[in-house]
Amino acid sequence: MSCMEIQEGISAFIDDAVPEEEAGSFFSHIADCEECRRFLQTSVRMRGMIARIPEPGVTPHLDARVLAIALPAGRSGGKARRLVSSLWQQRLGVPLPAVAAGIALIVLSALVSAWLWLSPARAPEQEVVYIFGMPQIEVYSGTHADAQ
Amino acid sequence: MQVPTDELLLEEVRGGNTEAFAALYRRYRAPLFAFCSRLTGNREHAEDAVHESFLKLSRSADGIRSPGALRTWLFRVARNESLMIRRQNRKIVRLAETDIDTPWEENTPLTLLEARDGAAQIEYALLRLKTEYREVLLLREFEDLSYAEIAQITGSTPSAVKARIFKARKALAQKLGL
Ligand SMILES: [Zn+2]
Repeated sequence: MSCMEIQEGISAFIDDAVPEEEAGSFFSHIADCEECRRFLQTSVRMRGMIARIPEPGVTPHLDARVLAIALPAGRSGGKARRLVSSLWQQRLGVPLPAVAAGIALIVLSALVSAWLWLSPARAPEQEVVYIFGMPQIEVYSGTHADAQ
Repeated sequence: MQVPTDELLLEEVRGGNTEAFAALYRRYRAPLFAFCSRLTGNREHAEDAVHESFLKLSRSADGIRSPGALRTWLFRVARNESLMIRRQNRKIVRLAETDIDTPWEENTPLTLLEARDGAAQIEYALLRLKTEYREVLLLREFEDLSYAEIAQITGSTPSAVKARIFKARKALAQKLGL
């Protein structure tokens, strides 16, 4: 390999783009080649210099310009629905179908309870025993005991 | 708190969610602006390039085939916008028949008077590199992108990127007198 090829390999090596086993041949070459050794040192030194270049700050003007961009809304209803589904999964940790099934179950139980409660055949029995009957018995019993 | 992925944010942008769009902008504004700034050598042009990139994102979010590679997509668009703005600017300079020495003139010796400290010196030397050398070196050194990613951004191949980065380092060393 020529010195140019070796140096191209060294350049790729410092970019982690060369497997270790391939790099072995470069290092055996630079042990005897002043020019290639110098290229490696220079490349590493330039990397250090580049790392010290300060980052240019983004201006509030650019922020304002970009954040003022209006998005074309509602162009992908199907995708938006899938997104809502994925957000539910992410935030609640429960799949959307499970949440829907749970809500349906609660609504159904409420309807069944209401039907049972309002059913004419059962209403009188429940009224007498649980609503008017029992509390009255307890109240009279307590008052009677205090009086004694 | 879990940080939303680019993929999820892009999906929200597709549904018209402006907060997701703002989140993507905040995520990428600094590296994109720095890249465009160093590529064009002009902050105003860099602002225009970044603005145009996000405008394109807002309009063609549906067309991004690989949402996982949004970073590469943004850098490719920002790079193309920067080069286009630069070309337009050069045309204007030529039409005005001025004798301005644009910072991307090739083979201009580094003026140490204009670059007193180390950071300014190398920044100036980077601006004097050929565009095709400067862009690959910026993406490699500042963004830590792989040769394959740089190839995608610059419309090239990984082996061509490898060769170009090597030549860029040789040219930079020469301009710095190293
Ligand atoms: Zn050699």
